[in-house]
Amino acid sequence: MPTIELPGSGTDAPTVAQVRAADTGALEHGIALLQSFLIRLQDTQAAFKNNVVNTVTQPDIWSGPAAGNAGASLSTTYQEYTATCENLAELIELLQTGAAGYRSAQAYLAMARDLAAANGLIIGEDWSVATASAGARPNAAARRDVAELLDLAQSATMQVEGSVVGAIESQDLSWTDRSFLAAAAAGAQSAATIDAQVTIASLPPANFSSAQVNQWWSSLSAADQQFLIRSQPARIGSLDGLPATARDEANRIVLSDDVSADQTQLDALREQEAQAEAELAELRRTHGAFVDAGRAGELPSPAYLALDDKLASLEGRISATSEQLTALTSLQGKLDMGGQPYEFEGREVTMPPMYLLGFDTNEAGHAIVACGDPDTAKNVAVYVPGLNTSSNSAHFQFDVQHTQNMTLAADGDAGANDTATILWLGYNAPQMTAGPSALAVSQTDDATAAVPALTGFLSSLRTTDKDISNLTLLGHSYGSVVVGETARASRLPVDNIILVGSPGVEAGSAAQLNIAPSHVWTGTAPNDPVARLGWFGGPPTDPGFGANQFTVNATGGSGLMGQHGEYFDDATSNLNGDRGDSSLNNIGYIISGQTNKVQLVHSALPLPPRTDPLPAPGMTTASPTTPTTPDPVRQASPEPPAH
Amino acid sequence: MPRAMPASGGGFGVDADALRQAASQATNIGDELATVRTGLDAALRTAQPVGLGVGAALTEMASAWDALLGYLAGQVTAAGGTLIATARAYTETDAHVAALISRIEG
Repeated sequence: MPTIELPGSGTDAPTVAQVRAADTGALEHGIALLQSFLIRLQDTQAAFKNNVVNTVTQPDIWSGPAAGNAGASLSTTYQEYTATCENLAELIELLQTGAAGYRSAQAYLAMARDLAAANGLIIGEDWSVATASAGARPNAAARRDVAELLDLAQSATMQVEGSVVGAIESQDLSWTDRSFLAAAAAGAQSAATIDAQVTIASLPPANFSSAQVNQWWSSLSAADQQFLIRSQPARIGSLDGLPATARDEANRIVLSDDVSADQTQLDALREQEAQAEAELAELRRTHGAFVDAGRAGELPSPAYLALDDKLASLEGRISATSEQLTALTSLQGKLDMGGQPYEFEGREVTMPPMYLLGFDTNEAGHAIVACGDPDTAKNVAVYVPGLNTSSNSAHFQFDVQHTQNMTLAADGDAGANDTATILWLGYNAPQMTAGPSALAVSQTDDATAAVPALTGFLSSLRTTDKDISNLTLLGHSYGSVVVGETARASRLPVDNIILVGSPGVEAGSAAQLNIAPSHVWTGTAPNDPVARLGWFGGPPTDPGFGANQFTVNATGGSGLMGQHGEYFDDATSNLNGDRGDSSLNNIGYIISGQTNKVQLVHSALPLPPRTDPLPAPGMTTASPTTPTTPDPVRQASPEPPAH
Repeated sequence: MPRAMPASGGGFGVDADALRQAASQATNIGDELATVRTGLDAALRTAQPVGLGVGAALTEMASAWDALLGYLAGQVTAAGGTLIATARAYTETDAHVAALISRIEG
């Protein structure tokens, strides 16, 4: 916004004749014309945004380095459009204030002239009052009244001549000079980018398989790869089939840019909030009797209500932006843990390298985070989280921690650092909010929509890592619905499927998941309310489902949902302090391929009637219930995985 | 419709016709801005009450406003020109890119 400054002391005061003769009608006509041009300007601004900016920045219309630069350049022009409209709107407001001031001055002056004429007084051009003829007897009271009216007229005039004229003259329109330089630089960069793009070819077509994408990437020189990572980080970061290191480098650029953007936006919003609060305080100070809603018989003024609404809106936006910023910086912190010393279940370990394989802040956010190198790991697990998972939320750091726990547990079980666990939030996890969208969690739309992306991602893992010996797909909560839908749709290249805290998987039996039932593993805490919902079919832990059920020694702590989030807790954070029989340990055994060590409630095949009771709902310190009956999973060679 | 992350393969695409349409729109908007610029200048001169400070201030600022609208119209018109040139450039390099992709597939 332009800087408003009061004029200097050298402003000449208008004469009485000038005020009297001022054509305020012309001024008001001019204001009306300016208003009509403001509307036309705003119309062209909307057309520019809708028909040019929004068109050009659609990825399916134009993508590539040049598109990015063109989009940035158009956005700059749009911002300049916005600034121009704001400048003009402010000018109109100033002129309206000026017109009102001049009208008041002319009205006071007319009253003074009438009163003066009636009392034999004359008004001088210098705002003085004198008797009309020498020797006339002055009416002191009338003379005083005329003088007061002239004071009011002069005061109103000077108010306009001072603050309003000063503000008009101080409107800062010189930003065009600065923008010209920026635009010239951006134009030169855009032209250079177009040339570069033509010489290094483009991104691969959408129908390329991950293997073809991998081949395409390998065909590029290191310099061209770096160029694409730097110029199109969002696109490169989301390409299945690319090495984890390339995706990680690209996505960290996107993440860093988003952190900067959030910080900038937050600063701007806080500045606006401070300004609105100051305006509200000033309104209370100057018009307190008219804005105090708490006083009987008085209503807040429209100006007060408008400021109050604006403040409420700003506070909401500040809260949302602040939470997202916290989430993104927390994610950066988690990523930086790679290679650092870490204490896990009482032992000192080195946190495996962390990779950001996908990231954006669209909708509730998306992120794919790996703990361990998925391109070299022998054991790879893909963990699909469920309800309310949002990478734009500060809580996401705990989902990443769960991922780290699984890698560390599997590595600990295997005695080697050859595990990568990947948190895959590549879909829109339903968000439990008030209103109609609350129903999303009980519907399969989000899970169904996730199937192609998850299937493609799983396939790409075996493209970039030929040495995977055990690939596990794990779904938690609504994530198990995603896993169920994906597994039912096609034969996945996975060796094991784990379903925990599941409200059903849209399948009547493990056999419908296109994998041998003995390679399907389920777990539920005794008092997990989600696992009792049955929204998507019967519980997969039911023996009739035909999968293995492993023990889950959960306590849940406090809160209704406590046990639902305990499947990945390590012994330190698990309120039992248990080791050896926890859900995390069992999951670690499965991920590391040591399924013979999994502590079972029941195995995949039907068991004879048991004599020992299963853990009853509500038991908080249930002992592990290893079956005493022969375990076909341990005794028989597992069927080959359904690739 | 829920949006998932881009699937395997990603993609590069230029819809040259859409770019040309956007360019045409930008050119039209630039023309309209030129009209607004002329009208705004006339309105500023209409709004000048003789002899008072507001009139003098508007006279002083009219040239700045004229330059501002001229600048904005120039930016929009230039954007249209760039988009047209870009659409043309991509059309001309289509054959080059297609040949490159076919070599990769082969």
